[in-house]
Amino acid sequence: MSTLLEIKGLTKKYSAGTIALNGIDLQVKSKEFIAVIGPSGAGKSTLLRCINRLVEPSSGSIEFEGDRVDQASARELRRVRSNIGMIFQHYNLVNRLSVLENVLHGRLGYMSSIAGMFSRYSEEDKKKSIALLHKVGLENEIYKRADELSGGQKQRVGVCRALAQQPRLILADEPIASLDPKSSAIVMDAIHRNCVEQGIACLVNLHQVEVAKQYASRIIGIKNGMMVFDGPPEALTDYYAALIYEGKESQMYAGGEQQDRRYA
Amino acid sequence: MKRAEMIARQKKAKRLLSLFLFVAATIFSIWFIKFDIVAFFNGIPLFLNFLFVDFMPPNVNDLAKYVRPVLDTLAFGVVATVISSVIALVIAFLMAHNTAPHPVVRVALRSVVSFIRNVPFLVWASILVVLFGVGTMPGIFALISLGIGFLARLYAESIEEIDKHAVEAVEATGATYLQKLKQAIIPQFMPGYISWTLFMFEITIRASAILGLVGAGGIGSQIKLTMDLFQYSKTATVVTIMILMILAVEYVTQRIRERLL
Repeated sequence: MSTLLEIKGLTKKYSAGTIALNGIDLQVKSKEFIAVIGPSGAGKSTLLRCINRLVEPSSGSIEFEGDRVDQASARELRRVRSNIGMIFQHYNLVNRLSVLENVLHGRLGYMSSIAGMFSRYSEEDKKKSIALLHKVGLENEIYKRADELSGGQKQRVGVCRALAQQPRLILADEPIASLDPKSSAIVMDAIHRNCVEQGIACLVNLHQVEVAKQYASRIIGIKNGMMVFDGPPEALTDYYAALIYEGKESQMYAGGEQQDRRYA
Repeated sequence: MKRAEMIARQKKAKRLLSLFLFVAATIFSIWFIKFDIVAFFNGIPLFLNFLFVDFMPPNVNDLAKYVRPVLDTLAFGVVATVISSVIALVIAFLMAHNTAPHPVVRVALRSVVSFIRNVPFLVWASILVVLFGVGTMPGIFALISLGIGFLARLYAESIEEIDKHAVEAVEATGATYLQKLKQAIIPQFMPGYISWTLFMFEITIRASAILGLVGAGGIGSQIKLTMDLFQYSKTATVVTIMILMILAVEYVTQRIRERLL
């Protein structure tokens, strides 16, 4: 397995002075399915967003398929981004567009600016996008507006948008944090199955330890902007889990923060 | 307990002081402009007399003569709304926080637009009448400047209010600036665009009625013309036509809004 992504000494300081990431070193090989766990505020989301520079890193280097992402020009950055799919906690769909149009957005990075502006998607792109929607069980919602769907359905559209990019890497930022357990399982299955089948590497932020153990081939623990665990799921013993979530133990379990409030 | 009492007393004092200042300002202003309350009340019967005797009955002999100015006014409204909405749209994208290409462009355009907006519309019309002479051109230009000042700001505000998460997601796919604009921002901005533009059309119709008063053409000119000739019964007809026209436009734009949104 070749190295897909290499992060060295990645640091992010926000202008308010908070240090979100403090010297992260991480190597991702192709086809790896990595769960990034840690309490909220640990820097998981910032880590993912630095990789495709939705957040600008303060220092350190990021290399994706041999290209320096941190030094990329606007044009190079777009090319890198077109090869990295992203899935968001709040789905981030364009609500007033159809499900299919949202999935086709995954193709924008491969088109000329003008063709993309006027939605001149190729027949092949459309067919592939429709096939993806069939695969995640949304064949009856293809032409519905995105805001007509339930949360779980919206997230499956989000997954399809990322897959439509035919990426080498998928970044999933808390993909199931806003979903009920049943939808969570469907979404995680969809992400995991497609990544394995198509040989896509995946970095998925989770705060539930048992979900991470269930899907991941490797687990990374982040705490206060530093990596405190890196190993196979079997090695993540209760001892390490307790260390990662020290002081925020309640977030380790399914439902996380929501459950906190419910039982408070 | 004592503290609460003190706060309550302070509040009461503040309220009394504000009331006193308000009354003082009103009294001073009345004295300053020599507002004559007696003349005001004496004027009411005069006004009613004017309205119901001089204006009545409306003279409908020249009805055919008013068709042209009505069409003129509607055409003014359409032309001014279309042109100003196109120009304002471009300006809005350049001056909204989330779509401005550069902060300098944003700040510069914001000051230009705020200047255009803060010069009252009738002042624009008067200046333009001097520049272009009496006729339709100054009227249209005045309406366009009104439209640009008004729409650019409202469009920019609607653009700033859209869901930035969806825009972020489209950005993450490697989309270009123009693709992001067209695929993520414009779809979300459409409802705001349509409803503000329709509202602008209503405003231009009202405004173009006023425009006639400074000699800038349209139905408003007929009001001034008939008044200057003391043909008040004709003025009454023109005013009635104007009210009906405004109501009709309001009704139509409301229907369009319901259909589209």
